[in-house]
Amino acid sequence: MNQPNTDSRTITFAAPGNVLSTTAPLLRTQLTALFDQRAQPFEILEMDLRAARMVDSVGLNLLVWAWKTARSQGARLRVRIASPDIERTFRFTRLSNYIDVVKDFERPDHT
Amino acid sequence: MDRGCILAVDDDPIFLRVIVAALESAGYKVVTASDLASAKAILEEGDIDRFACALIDHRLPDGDGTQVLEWLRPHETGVAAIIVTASGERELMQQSMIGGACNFLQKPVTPWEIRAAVAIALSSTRQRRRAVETQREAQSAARMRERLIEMFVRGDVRVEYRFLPRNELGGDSLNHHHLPDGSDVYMVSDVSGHDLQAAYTSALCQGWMAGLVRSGGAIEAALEGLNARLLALEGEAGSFAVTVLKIDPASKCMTAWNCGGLPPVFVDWWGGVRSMGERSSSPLGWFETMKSTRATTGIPPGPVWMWTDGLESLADSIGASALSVAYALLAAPASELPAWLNWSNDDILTARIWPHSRANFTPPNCFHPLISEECSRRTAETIDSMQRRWKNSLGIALPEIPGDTMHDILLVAREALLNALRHGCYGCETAAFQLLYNPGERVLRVRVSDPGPGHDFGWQASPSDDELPGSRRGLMLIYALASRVSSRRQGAELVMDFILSPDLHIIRNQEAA
Repeated sequence: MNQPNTDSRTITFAAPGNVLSTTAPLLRTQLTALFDQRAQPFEILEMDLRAARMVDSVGLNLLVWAWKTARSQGARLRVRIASPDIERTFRFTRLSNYIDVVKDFERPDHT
Repeated sequence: MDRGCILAVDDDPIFLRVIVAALESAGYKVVTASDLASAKAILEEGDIDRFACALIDHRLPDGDGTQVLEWLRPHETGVAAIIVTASGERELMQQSMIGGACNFLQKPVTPWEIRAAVAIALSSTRQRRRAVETQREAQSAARMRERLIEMFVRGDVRVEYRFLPRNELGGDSLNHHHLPDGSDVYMVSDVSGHDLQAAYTSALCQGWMAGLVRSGGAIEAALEGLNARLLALEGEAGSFAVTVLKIDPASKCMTAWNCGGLPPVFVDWWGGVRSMGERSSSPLGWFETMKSTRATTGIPPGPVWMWTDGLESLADSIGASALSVAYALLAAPASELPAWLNWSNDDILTARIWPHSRANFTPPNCFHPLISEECSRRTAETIDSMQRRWKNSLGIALPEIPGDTMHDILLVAREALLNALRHGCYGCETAAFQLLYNPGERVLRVRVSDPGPGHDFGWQASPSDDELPGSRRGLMLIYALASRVSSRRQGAELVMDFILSPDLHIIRNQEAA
């Protein structure tokens, strides 16, 4: 279960699977609850998407919202991914210019 | 009186004499052997079918009696065997029965018991031989049917087909007739059942239709006449589902009649996947008023696809589209058919008919339909399951497709369909989703169209690189991931092409140009 990390200045949030039009609304609700629970300021919002194999445009909107929310509090968004396909999605939509993407894979991208 | 020839095998000469005496007195002829080797020699040297039964001692000097059963089994002689054992060998008896013996006797045994066991064995032999003969006839008929289909579709027309009957015989059939007026008639039919009766009914109905159509009779009249005759049999002949396709080069039109079958599918001149007529019609033999559908359209540039319901059942069971299964079956060499065919529990027949073709015809490069679906607004809620179906379909049609190519095609397809459902469909309106493949040019095409006024799809990914767009990320993905994008009706119809390299990776915009 996602919990605010009170020992550091990082909030960690893990998505259990793909971030899509069908899953993003619930993820957003959970993320909002996480923000609400956090009393003290944070420096990094880390979203763990290593279980995801696809992020669609609604999922990207969620990430942009998270990025904006973090930025409004002076924090950065860090996203951990394990899929080169998602890395490509971030790159083509320029999201990777704004967020820190931590890649947990080595497979070469063909594009 | 000669009641049949019995082979008796036992190393005990006294017991052999008992057997011979018991059986010859009842009119049987008895051939004897004292060991396994001589028994096999007798069976191998002569006509096995002359034996009506074998009476074999379990314990022989050079082996055991069940080895004779093992030798007999692959020869499909139908000879019933009785294994004779000493008392207390119940386990051996059970093994003998499993090994194919029809009965067993425990020594000591009386002449009456021998005669009674042989009488039962003779009956078993007759039944087995009838079954073997029926099997041979069915295999022979199946070979003839395959030759007939080959013959019907040969000649100056180009038809590719795959016929995979579940048993030797069944009800699915494909037929072609070239008529004096220059038109071609194709009939794809299906009779309920996978047995001799289904095959007979199928042949009878196809013959009836062929006779009338070839003699100039109207197809509708032929269908009505056949319906009346099946009804007169009060269900004994079952029902006959048939789709008839008539291609008339003179009028440049083709017409499909569908009675309980599946409508033919083709790609029209504008690149859209189209079905001819409705799916919800009844087979012949159900109702006095024939409920067929009829549809006429222009002859398309590419092939027309037809199949029977066994293909649809198989597609459902593997979570893929019928079109992708049909494509995969015709693309695979006959000797390397895919393993998922094992999921089939019905006859499978699919055909790809090239309406413009003649002898020595080479199929042109054209798009083949892999998926064609109508999607309501509610599809947006269940799009994940639909996406799994697309993935299965693509994986079946193009088994070598790499993971990144699959991902990008699915993501673009998802974005395009969600966009059409959200912005182009109102109330009960539906969006059309189609996936096609041109193997000659290695182009996968996603077509999505909706009845709405359009979506400004002329938009290009133009915001400056240092700006994070506030919206339209779906469009960004579509334009970035597809090789080329085109639209009609102000974007209400969107065509996204994926040009693939020889190893099926996507060649993007810049590379394609």
